[in-house]
Amino acid sequence: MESLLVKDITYSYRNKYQTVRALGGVSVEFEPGKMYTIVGSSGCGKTTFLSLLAGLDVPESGSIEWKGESTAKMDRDRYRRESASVIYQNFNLFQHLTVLENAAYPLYMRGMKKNEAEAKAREKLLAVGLKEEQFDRLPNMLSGGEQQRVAIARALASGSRIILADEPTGNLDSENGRNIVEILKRLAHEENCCVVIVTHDQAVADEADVVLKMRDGKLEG
Amino acid sequence: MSMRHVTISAMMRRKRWTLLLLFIALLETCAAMVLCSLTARQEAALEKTVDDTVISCVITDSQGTNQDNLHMATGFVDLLCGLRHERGYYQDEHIKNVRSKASIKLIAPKEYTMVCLLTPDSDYALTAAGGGSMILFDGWDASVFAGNQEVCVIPQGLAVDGEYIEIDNGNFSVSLRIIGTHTGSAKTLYCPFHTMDFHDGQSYMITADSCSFDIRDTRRLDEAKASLYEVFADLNADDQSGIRPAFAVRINDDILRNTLEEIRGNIRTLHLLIPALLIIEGAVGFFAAYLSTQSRLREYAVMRCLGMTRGKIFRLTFGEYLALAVVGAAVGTVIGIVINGTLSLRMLLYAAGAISAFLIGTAISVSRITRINVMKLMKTEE
Ligand SMILES: Nc1ncnc2c1ncn2[C@@H]1O[C@H](COP(=O)(O)OP(=O)(O)OP(=O)(O)O)[C@@H](O)[C@H]1O
Ligand SMILES: [Mg+2]
Repeated sequence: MESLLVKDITYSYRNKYQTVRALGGVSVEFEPGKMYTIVGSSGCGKTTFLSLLAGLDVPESGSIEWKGESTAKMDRDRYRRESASVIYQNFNLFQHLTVLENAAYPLYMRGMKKNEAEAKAREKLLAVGLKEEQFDRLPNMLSGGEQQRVAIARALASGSRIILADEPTGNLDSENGRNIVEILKRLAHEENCCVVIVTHDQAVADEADVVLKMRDGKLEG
Repeated sequence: MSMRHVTISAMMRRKRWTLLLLFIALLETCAAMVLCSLTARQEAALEKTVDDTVISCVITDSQGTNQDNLHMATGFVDLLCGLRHERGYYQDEHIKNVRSKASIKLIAPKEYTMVCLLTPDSDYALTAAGGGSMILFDGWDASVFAGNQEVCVIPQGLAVDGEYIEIDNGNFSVSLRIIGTHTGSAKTLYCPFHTMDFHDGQSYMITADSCSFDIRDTRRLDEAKASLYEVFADLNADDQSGIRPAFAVRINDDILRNTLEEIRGNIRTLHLLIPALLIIEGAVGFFAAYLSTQSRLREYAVMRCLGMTRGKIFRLTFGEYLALAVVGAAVGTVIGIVINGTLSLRMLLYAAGAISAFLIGTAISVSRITRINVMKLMKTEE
């Protein structure tokens, strides 16, 4: 079964002086074709959870498995390159690369030829509603919503099946926020992606197929 | 390939950092080349000083007080000239320009003194400083004094070319051909030092009044000294006890020694500056790259999020610094050549050393950046 399976994971932040438990036993299964949202009060562990899903670190105990393989054992760099993309509230883009170069970056990384990569990136940028004349701009010449779309286009270009978004609408007005959620939803439903959105926004949560509530490092209900 | 292309585009857009790093690499190269040429100049000065300095030596009595009235057997002079090799060596291997003077009181011409010289400047009275000079008739030159011909130079106005003068000191009389005139003290005849050596197959005891000479090769000063001190006393020796030679030699090498010591000190300092400079240049490279990478932390976090490996991030970022270093070093080398006016292999090595130090510094910074903790970083707000 092709799914993202989370089995009873825990995670703590440590430094020399103290240990902060951020996740305390989370189990859930994310299926492709559905859009999930995770809601919960500030500090309950949402970002931590999403980062572990993205393979930026591994759980202390328990496991996260994609297509039956644990993130603790796999090549996580490759997992992020090919399977999982994260979209953050801000600073997703390379400030010194153009919109087109940003979107094509995962393809450059794979060694694809420049014009080939850019043709594909162009297609994805148009798919998320950006206009040709914006492609050669640097990110700071775009609005927050447009930048967020570039990040989504980049995730699309990389061909990731898992799209993880941390407060993707946090900096956007409701109109732009709705657009972004619309695009993500289409990814889940039409491209059969596994979309997980962390949000504070009730309007976003309402759009989801499944809403997960988190409190003190655990999922409720 | 496309990766490199966009990396370069991004570098071009980060103008300030790119120019700053380029400038640092350039400065570091120039600094190393300047240091190199300063060192080379000091070393050349050292060589020149050694080559140009003439170290003169004077024979004195054993106390070092008298040098004009030695009554020294001419055998010593012969030894210095390399005419004898008792003790198994030729002194003239180590010394040159031996000057010596021996005077003999004459009864005819009355009240005249016959002065035997090894070279015309052996007598102070005949040098420019002493106020006199010597004019030899056509066909004669100063080298005649090195031989033992029976010739002489008499005070001005007393004779013409081709004439002879009869001299007598009570022990011997001989007829000397007049080969020139001099403006030195009147009542003095000058003749070659060895003229009287074996007159009529008989050796007349003549003693030298004074003797001086120069060290042949300044680079072999120590050897020359050792050789001289086998025959003559060392006036500077602490131990003045024991059997002392009848004569001492004063070797005037103080000025040279002090000059050389000064230049060698400079060279030592410059050599010490090399590691210091390399360390500083490495540190500057480290901090420049540190600040530059810190200003792009988010970008590295994004790269990691996109699944770029640490090795790839290192190669990509270090590649940027490497390219800047190469361009900076190339421009720096050209400027270094212009500043110093020369180019040597050594300067290129110094430049290479500087740029290597810079690169090592940047490599340390870059390797640190590959270890960023993305999870912690992505949480910090702008
Ligand atoms: N780098 C860190 N070092 C130590 N503790 C941390 C660190 N990052 C997060 N935490 C702690 O871990 C817990 C979960 O943090 P997390 O960022 O996952 O919360 P969140 O649900 O994303 O909050 P928010 O909605 O405010 O973004 C919090 O209690 C927080 O204090
Ligand atoms: Mg968060």
